[in-house]
Amino acid sequence: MAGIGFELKRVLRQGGVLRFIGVSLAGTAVVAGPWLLSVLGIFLIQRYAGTALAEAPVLFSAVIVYSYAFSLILFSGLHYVFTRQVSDLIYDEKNREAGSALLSFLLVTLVLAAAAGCGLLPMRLQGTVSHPLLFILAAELLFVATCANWVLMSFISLLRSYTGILMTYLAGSFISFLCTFLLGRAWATAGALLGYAAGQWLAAIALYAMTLARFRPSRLFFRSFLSYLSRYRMLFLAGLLYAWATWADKVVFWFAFGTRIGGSWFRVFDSYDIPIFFAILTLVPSLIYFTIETETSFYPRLREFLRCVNSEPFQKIQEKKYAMIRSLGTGLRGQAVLQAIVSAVLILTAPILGPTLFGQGVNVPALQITLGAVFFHSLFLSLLIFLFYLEMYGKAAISTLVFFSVNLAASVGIALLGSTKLLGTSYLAGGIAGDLVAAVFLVRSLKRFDHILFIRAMRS
Amino acid sequence: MPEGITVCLLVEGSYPFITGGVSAWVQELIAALPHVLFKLFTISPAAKQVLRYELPQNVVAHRDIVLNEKARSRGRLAGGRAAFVTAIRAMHAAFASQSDPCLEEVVALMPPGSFPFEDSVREEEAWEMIVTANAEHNPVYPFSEYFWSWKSSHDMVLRIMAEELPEADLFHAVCTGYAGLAAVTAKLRTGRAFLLTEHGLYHKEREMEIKRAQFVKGYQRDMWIAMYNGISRLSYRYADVVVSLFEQNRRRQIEMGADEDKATVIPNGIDIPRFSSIVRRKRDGFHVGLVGRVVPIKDIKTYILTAKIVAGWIPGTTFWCIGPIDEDQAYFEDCRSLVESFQLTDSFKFTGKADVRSFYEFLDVLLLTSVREAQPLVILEAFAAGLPVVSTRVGNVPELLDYDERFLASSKDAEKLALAVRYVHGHPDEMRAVSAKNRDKVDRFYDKTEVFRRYGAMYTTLSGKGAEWPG
Repeated sequence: MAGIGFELKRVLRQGGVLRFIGVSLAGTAVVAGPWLLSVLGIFLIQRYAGTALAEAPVLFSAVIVYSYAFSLILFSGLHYVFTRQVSDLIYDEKNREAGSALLSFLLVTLVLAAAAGCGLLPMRLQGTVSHPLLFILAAELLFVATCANWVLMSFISLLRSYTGILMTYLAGSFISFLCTFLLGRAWATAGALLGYAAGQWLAAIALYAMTLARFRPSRLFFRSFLSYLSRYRMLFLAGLLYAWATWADKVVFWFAFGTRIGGSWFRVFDSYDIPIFFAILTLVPSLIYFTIETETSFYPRLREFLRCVNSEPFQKIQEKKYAMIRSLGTGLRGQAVLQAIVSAVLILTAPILGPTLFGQGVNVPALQITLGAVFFHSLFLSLLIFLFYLEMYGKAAISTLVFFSVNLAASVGIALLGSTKLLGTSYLAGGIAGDLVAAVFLVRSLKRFDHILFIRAMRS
Repeated sequence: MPEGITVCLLVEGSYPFITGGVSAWVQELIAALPHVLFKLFTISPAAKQVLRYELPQNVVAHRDIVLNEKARSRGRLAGGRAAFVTAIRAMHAAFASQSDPCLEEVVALMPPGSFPFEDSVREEEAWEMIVTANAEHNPVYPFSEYFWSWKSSHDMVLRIMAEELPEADLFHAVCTGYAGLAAVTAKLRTGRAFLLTEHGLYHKEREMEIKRAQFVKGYQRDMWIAMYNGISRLSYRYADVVVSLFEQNRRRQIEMGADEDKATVIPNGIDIPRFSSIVRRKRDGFHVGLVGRVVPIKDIKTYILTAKIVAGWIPGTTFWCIGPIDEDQAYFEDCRSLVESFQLTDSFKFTGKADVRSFYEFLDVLLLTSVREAQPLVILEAFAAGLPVVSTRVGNVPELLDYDERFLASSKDAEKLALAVRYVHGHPDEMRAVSAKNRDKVDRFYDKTEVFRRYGAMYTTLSGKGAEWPG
C-alpha cells in the first residue's frame, strides 16, 4: 500500500494541483475502498433517485449495506491472506503467477459468494417490491460483485496506474447511478438495484481488465493459497476479526433495536446506522495522512533497518531501529492530531451538522460518540497495519480479538439494557481497548524487533 | 578380566569412520577386552559415513549423531526458559572468570531430548547476554556474524548435552570436546563414572585448526578457542580418571583443571610380537618410509620436499608413502603433482592402504613429518621392528626419540629432516645400537597387553564391579 503514498509524495513535491487531486482521489479510492464510495453512493441515490426508489427506498439501501457488511464479515480474512500471497509473488517478480492467483481466488470468491448469497432466497417480497424475483436476483448479483470488488481492491493497489483506477471507479459509480435511474424507471426498485449491481459488475470487470496487462494468468491454482492460508492463519484471523470488530455493534443493534423490513430478514436501525455510516466517512483524512506521511516515512526506515540487520554492527542496528521507531511515533502523532481536530470539530458541530445533513430525526449524541469512536478506530487501523509490517500476525489477531470482543460484549450489554442512549459507546470502548493492546504490542515488538528477526531467522 | 561390564565409549570424529591412530587404538581396546560389552556413541561431522572398521562382536550398540544436524526438541526444560537462561549465564560468567563452571544446574534443568537453544534465545535475558558479549568482543564487526557464531557454538554444545546416552556402567570418552561433554552430562544424569582418555589435547588441536582456518575471523577465533578450552575444562573437572599418553600432556591436563590424583599416564601399546618377529632383509638401495594417511596433518608435502633433498644426496634412494590415499583426494592430487614436479616419479611410491610389516622388512629408516601427533603408534611399531626413526618434534615424539636432536626436526623443516636421514644412512652401525635400545624400550613400556589390562582394571573399579583400581 505504501506505493500510492510515495506517488502522492512525489506529486506533492512536483506540484500541480490537478494531478495531486487526481492522485489523492485515487488514493482515497484505493485505501478507503468501495465502502466509502458506497456510503456516498447510497446518500446520493437516496437523495436524487426520486420515483425509482419510491416503493422501497429502505430495502434498497439495506441490500447495499448488507452486501458490504457480509462480504467483509465472511471473506475479509481470506482477503488478507490473498494480499500477502500476491505481494510475495510480485516481490519475486512472478507476475504471471500473481495473475493466476488473482483469477483463481476471484473464481473461488465468486462461487463462495454466490453460495452465501443464497441467504437472500428466503425473502418474500411480494407486496414490498413490484418485481420480487428480479429484486432477489439483483441483490444476489450485487453481493457477488461486492465480494469480487474487495478481491480486486486488494490486488489493484499493486498497480501504479492510479488515475486509471480513479477513472474506473468514477465510471463504475456513474454507470451505477445511470443504470439505477434508467432501470428504476422500467422496473422500479428491483430495476434500480439491478442497475446499481450492473455498475458494480462493470467496475469489477474493468478493474480486472486493468490487471491483465501486467498480470496475465497462465493457469488456475488453488493449492498454494491453501498453504498460505495454513501458514498465515493468524493473518487470516486478524483480517476476519477486524471485520467482525467493525461490524459487531451494527449487527447487534440491527437485531436488538432495528426494524424488520417487510418480506425480508433485513433489519435497519436509522438511529444508529446514519450516525455510524457518516462517522465512518471521517476516517478519510486520517487514512490519507497515513498513506502520504506515516507510512511513507516509516517504510524506508524499516527497509534501512532490515538491510543493516545482517551487515552492520549492533550500534548501527540500534540507530536504525530507533530511527524507525521515531518515524513511526512522529507519523502516528501527526495522524492522531489531524484526526483529533477533524473529530473534535465534527463532534462540536454535530448538533447543527447532523440535522442539516440528515434531518431533525438524527440521533446527535450517537453521532458525537461514533465520531469520537472513529478517532480510535483510525488509530487502531494504523497500529494494525504496522503490526502487519512487522509480521506480528498473532499479536494483530489478539488486538482485533480484543476490539471485537469488547465491542460485541458491550453492544450485547447495551442491547440487554435496552439503553439507546449508549449507542456508539461499545464501538468506542472496543476501539480504545484495541488501541491499547495493539499499541503495547507494537511498542514492545518494535523495541525488540532485532531480537525478533534473529529468532525468526533461526527458525527459517 | 572384567566381566558383565557395559561401557559406553564416546568417540568424536574418528572411529569407526576414519582411520588413524585413535581409531586403531579404539579398535584394539575393544578387541582386547572381549568380555566387556561396548556401546558406541560416536559424534560425526556428517551423516551416513562409511564404516572403516569391522566392529568387534562385543560392540552391542552403536549410535552416531551428527553434530550440526538440527535436532527437534522432544522435551521441555525442567524449570522453564528463564531459569535455564540464568543457569547458562552463570556458566558463562564462570568461564569468563576462569573459575570452575558448574554444570549440575544446567543438566538438571535440561531433560534428555530437550534442545533448548532456540527457545532460550527468546528470553530477554538470553538476548541481553548475547548483546553484552557482542559489545565486549565484537563492537565494530557485523552483529549477525557474532550472533550466528554464538548460535552455532551453543547449538552444538546443547545438542550434545540434550542427547540421551545408552545405558552403561561407565562412560569412557576418548577425548574431551563434545564426546567429553556428553560423558560429563551422562555422569551428572546417571551418577555413573566417567573415564577420560586423551591421546592428544583436544583443545590444543582445535586451537590450531581455528588459527589456520581462513573463514574464522579474528574476534571469532577467541570465542571458539575459549569455548573449546571451556568444555575441555569441564571434562577434566568432572572425569573420575583422566588418562594421557605421556607425562607432558598430563601436566597440561592438570593445569586445565584435572585433579592431580586422578590424572594418570597410560601410554600407547602395540602388539610387540607382531612387529618384533619381522625378519629384516636388506634390499638394494636406500629405503625411506612414511607410514600414515595422505592427509595435511601428516604433512606429506614436507616428506616429498625432504625426499627431493635426500635424492640429491643419496642416489638410488626409494621413498615409500605407506597409507590410505583416499581420505583427502585433493590433497593427494596435490602431493602427486608435487612428486611429478620434483621429477621423483620413479623413486617416490604411494602404496595406498597396505600391510606395513612387509615394508618394515626392508625399510632403512622411518620418517614422520606430521605437524601434530600425540604418541604415534608407527614409531613404536618401527622400534619393535628394529627401524631407526627420524621425525618432526611433535607430541611425545621427542621423548620417544630420547630428545636426540640428530633425529628430530621442527615441523616443515625439510632440510633438517633430510640431514637426519643422511645421518642414518651414513651411520649404519650406530643405528643398529640405537634400534636395539629402542626395541628394549618398547618391550618394557609399550606392550599393548599391559596397556589394555590396565584399562580392564579401571573398568572394573569404575563400574563398581570389582576391586579398587590401584592407579
